[in-house]
Amino acid sequence: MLKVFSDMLITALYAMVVQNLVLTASYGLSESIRTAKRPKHFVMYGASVTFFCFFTSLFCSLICRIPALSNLPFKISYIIFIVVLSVLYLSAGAFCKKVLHADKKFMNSLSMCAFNTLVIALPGINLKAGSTVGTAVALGFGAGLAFVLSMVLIRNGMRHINKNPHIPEFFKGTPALFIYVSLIALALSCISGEALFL
Amino acid sequence: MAKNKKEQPKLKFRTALFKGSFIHNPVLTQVIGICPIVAAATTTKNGIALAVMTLLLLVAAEMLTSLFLKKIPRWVRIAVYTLSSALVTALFEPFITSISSNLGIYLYLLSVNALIVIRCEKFACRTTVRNSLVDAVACSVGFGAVSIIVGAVREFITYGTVFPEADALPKITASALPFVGLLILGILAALHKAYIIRFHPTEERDTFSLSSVEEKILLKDPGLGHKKKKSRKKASDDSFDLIRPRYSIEDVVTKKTEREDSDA
Amino acid sequence: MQKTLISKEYMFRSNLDTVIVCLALLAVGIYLNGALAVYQALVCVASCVLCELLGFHVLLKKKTLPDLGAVATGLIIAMLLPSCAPLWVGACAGAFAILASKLPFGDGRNAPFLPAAAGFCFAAMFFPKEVFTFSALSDAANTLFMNEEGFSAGISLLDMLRSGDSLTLNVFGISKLLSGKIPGAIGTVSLVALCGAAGYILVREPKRLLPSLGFLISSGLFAFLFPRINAGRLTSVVMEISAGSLLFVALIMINNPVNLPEKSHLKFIYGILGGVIAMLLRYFSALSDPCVFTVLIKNALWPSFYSKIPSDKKMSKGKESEVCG
Repeated sequence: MLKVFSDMLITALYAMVVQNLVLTASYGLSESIRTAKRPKHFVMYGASVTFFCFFTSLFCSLICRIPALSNLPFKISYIIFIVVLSVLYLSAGAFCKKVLHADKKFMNSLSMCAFNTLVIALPGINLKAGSTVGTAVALGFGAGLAFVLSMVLIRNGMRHINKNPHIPEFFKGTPALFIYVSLIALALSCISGEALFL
Repeated sequence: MAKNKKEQPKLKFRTALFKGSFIHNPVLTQVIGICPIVAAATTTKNGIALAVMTLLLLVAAEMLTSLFLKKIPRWVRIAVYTLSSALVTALFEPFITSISSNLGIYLYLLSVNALIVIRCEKFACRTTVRNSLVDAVACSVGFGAVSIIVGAVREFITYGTVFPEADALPKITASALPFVGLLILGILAALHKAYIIRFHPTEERDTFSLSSVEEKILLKDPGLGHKKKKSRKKASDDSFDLIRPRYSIEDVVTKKTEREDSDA
Repeated sequence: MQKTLISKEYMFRSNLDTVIVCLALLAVGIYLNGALAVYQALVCVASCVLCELLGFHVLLKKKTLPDLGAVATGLIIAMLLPSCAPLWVGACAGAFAILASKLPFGDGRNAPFLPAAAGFCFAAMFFPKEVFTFSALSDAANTLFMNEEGFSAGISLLDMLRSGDSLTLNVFGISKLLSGKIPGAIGTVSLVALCGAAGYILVREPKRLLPSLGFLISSGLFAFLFPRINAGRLTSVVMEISAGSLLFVALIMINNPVNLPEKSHLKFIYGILGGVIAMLLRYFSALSDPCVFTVLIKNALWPSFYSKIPSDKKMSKGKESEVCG
């Protein structure tokens, strides 16, 4: 039991810090950069992405345990993952709309949180790494936290760039931001060296 | 609204292609869909494979949205065309792997690429099939050009040549790391911006630059009262718009429609 | 990260101090490694100065060379490289430092990441073999011209720590540590030279040593609590602090004024966090000596903590004001 928990903790930490899935493997990077522009919505985005990462990873991992589905070619498995994610998203969307009476803006954001490369990469990583259900869940949770961490770090960069009047004209905005994110990725890539998830 | 739809002007292919793919390049100015470029465009072949797959996916998704999905609620529609994109990916996978076989998981991740979601929502569901097709081609060309350039540069760093021999050994393996891709994107974005500032200054819009109001607030105006705090909030909401990057083609359609309306 | 922009005069003074300290370390490096250390330093400085000329003076029409930033960056990179590393490694690191880490953000006073750290990290990721292979000292000191094949790789303190070996702390061992007669990078091996550098900074600007102190205390404590060798906790502390670039990073890089907080207690906390990150990286990283990466990680992480801490309201003023120490 203790080993299962320690494995889960290590996997979550690995996905979040050691090899931050967003900054060093670039899953969901464009969503992270664009979300970083809206600090007021960090909690909502962070929670939604973590929710979808967690449950997509969990459900897809459970589905892969069904004997009839375990030996399918990767492209068929991948379509199944997308179907699982779509069902999860539609259920969550229907719940938010009907029960919580969520507004249009929230519903739009929910779709961005569900359909991004980070969420749908997780089942693929689990499948190729042969993860157990426990580590799959931990990976999902760690991936959500990795997204939050990357949002915070990129937001810092955005603030720095926007407050800096000395940036050359042709580097202002997106170019400087790309380079800032690249330097963060360089800093984090020392932990794992050149090894990448998939 | 129905009237407007009928009267929507046709996009000129050449203008749309130039503006959609170059002036308002989705990757370099709007930071859309950079994940596959940064992580998977490590060789020229990979770049070409990503470009072709994106073209196929974007054309299919925009056509589908423009033809059948306009009346479905937005939050349901996204799930539909993501599923259809997954099917298209699975269908064309053998063709793409014949171009490059080492895209790995990133080939499948293209079906949830932000470029597809944003173009379908921002453009295809509001315009005609023809305009959607033109937009899909223009955006894919912009995305594809960047992905091929990034792939070629990284291949040059890795092997010392573009299109190396099959048994060539990599000289530097670290160039496949995402930070190198981001760095190349940063340099390309700067070159792109320098060109736009010099030759098309009126078209210069950057999703991540400060708006003039914000610039005034953050850089010049030292003392902010309560009223100004309000304006800071407004400016922030205006400029940092998540799902509304400024698009050239849509602007063309909207402006023309508005102009025609006012003329009438 | 400074909330207010530091003045040009202060930047010049700080860079001058760095240059003086690095030149002193280079002198010891020349004594230990021979002429190779001079070549390495010259190439790194030349690369940085040329890129600065090209980028700032020609492209941006901005005269930034007189603030000595490029020279300081080049010297720091040279001090972190082994003398036997090919000269083009230093040239690439210098070019990256100036063109990718300084130019896009305006100038050295606005760079969110220390350019020298970025340059070295780039070289470490791209050319790990060249950057982390240290020559046996007798080979290097006797060599006047570059001949990579003539070197035999020496065993550095970091290699010993990784394999669980320890240095006997008798008179012979301690004298080795003090004089720096151990394979390592040019400016990071001699404890006497580094202590001299600390003394110089203490005289010039005592507050600049606060983050260094925090850094060394936390990394020493970490080494004491979690030793990697069986020779005792004290030996672990001495070896961890003397090994690799940790002491150099603590004294020269972590206290770069551009990225430091303004208040003294925050500087100390900044150093403490840096030390913990450095030791965690050292224990778990895939690279041989990841200490310099600590500087980049701190530069990226610190604003997240710092923005939460209430401070004076200089932030919104956007004026240039001198921040000393």
